[in-house]
Amino acid sequence: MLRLVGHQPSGSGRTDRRLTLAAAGAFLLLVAYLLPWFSNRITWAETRFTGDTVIVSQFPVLIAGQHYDQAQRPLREELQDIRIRVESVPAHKASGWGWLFQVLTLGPALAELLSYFVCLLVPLLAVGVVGVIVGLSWFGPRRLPEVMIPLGINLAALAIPSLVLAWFHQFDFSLELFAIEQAAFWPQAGFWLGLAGSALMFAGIVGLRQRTRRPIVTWWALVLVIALGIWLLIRFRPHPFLEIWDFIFDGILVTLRITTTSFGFILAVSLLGGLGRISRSRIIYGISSLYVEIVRGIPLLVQLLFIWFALPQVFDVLGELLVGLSPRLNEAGQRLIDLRLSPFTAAVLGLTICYGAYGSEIFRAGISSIHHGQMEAARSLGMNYIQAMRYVILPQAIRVILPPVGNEFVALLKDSTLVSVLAVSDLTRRGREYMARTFLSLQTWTFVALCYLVLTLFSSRVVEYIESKSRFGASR
Amino acid sequence: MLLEVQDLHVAYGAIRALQGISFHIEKGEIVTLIGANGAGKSTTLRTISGLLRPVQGDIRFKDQSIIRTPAERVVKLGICQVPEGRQIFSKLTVHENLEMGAYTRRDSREIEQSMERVFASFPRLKERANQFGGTLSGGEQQMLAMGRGLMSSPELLLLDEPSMGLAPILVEEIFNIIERINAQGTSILLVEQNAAMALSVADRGYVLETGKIVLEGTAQELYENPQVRAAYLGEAALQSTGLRVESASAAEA
Repeated sequence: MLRLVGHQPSGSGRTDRRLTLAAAGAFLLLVAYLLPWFSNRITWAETRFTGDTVIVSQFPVLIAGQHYDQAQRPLREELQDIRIRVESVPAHKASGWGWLFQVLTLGPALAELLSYFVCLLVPLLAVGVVGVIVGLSWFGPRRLPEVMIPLGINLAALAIPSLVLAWFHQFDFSLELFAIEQAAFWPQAGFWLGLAGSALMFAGIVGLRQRTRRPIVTWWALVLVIALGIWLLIRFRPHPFLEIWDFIFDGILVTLRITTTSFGFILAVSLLGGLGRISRSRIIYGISSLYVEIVRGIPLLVQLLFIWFALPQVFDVLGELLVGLSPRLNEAGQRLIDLRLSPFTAAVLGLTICYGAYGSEIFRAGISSIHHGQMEAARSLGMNYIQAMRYVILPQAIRVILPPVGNEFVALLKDSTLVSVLAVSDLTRRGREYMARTFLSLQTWTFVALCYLVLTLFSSRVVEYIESKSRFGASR
Repeated sequence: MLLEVQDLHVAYGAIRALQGISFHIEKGEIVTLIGANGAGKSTTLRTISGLLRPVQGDIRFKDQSIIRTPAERVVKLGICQVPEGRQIFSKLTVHENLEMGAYTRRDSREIEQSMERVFASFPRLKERANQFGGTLSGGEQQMLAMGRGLMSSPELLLLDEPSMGLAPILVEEIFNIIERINAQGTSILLVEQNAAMALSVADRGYVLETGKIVLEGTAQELYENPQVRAAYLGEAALQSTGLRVESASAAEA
């Protein structure tokens, strides 16, 4: 396990001050959880639209899902008004612990208030980690597990917005609802004390950032921030963002399905193409080089259009040729004439052919980067060509191949938008369909762009992680 | 006759690397091929071990033609090549590298015995058995490459430039080991640019120049041949191998 010499248990007063500050903050936060936070809650809401549509919801513990009511606005109707009933909460249920306990005892219905639960839990986790850091430094062994400091700083930083978001849950992130009974929703002393405690805790623990060689903020944070941004858009502006989300969600799944399916085939084609490009057989070399050269010279969009619109005609011509050639080929020819690719198949086929060509070059370069002597050494130990490739060359080449192949995956994810010109309902096409219905261009495309961003940034991080793992010992 | 090469022609495309060479190796001999860069020494070895196909000519191992035998089967017949530049597997441990050498063999007890023999010949490898191959020094890597070759228990070991890139003191150690391996019954075909060193351990030698054998004879004959001395055993080379200068002067005396 990686360990780094932590701070000294006593020694410099400077170190102690930071730890004292963090400990005091954590203690304040714990005390705050016992005091009242939110003493009023919404038990009932009625949403009226300009037509005669009225939606009524009851909330047993905390208002939840009211934004779904708002998003269910019928076409050509506007939101007229929302009426709510506010009830005061008994003191023992109004504290931080009280709310956490109420949500926990919900059982399966917890799913609806999961975000609220997380918001109440994060500050407690931060207190736990900060407590361990402070405890180990004061009373424990001299060393601190290195991962604790970045974890502690991050959790302490997250504790502050978590508390604020917990408050927003009280009126379901709806500024309209908040405006109705402002005074009732204003948090009590415990909440403010909790905020102050979190801030103190963060101020103390952030002073330890020099004590670790690990980065405090990684690029994973950007993925988190953008995902959170999408979530907040949905919560604060259920109309239209919740509606857009519901509309395009299956598009996200289609995009992912197309990307991962094609990627599997692309790896296989790339391996074969790469091996073909280093083959000593002129025919195999010629075929694979021709494939790479031709496919790389045609835009992906044109290739997709060809496969979708022109390939069926090619099948027809070939089929008729077979039928005309011999009566025995009649059946096969007819089958070829009747052959129609599904949009999904056509999309995967097009992406595989195009990206397989680029991938072939990556694999060729990776395999060529291994000294040819390794092949000779393996051959002179009694392996045949395939065994030597499989057991000696490819395992070494994979380290070189992996980073560019990872980049290809991210590029593929983005280029999969092009399949929306076929009849594939991917994320882009769903976005276009929604826009065609509502003409909300700005909102729709902002939201679609954010969704792609989360997917690509997330996969980039995963690629980076795999790379860092495979790079281990590369210099040996 | 263990190995007989008859009128061997090998070409890389239009380049004719070997233009009809013939030589032979008797059982228990160390035979060396010496020559400059590009003379065709490595090509000869690669053709014997089955990595290259000759255009013309024949290679007979124990009276059986092996020119159509693929590399992996040549190993099973009992010929093992230790490639130029070591080419050990740097991400495997020394022990694993040696196990790879026994790729064609299945009897684990015999493999264990070969391993012990290799460790006896190369005590340094035993010390580093669990180290990664890539962390070894150049000399140790050469030992590992030779040990790995010996793991297939070959009758004929083909050594391609074992002294390449090694310090003189290590070269001497490697050549001592070559002599010891030979004493245990393995015939050796040694390809070297370091002609003085090669001739000091070999029984017989052949001089290769641009794909043809221009001279052959016992090591002593070649060593004393004025042409060889001028072309391959310049005074500088003789100085660097103190061992040979002494024995040469002893021979003169």
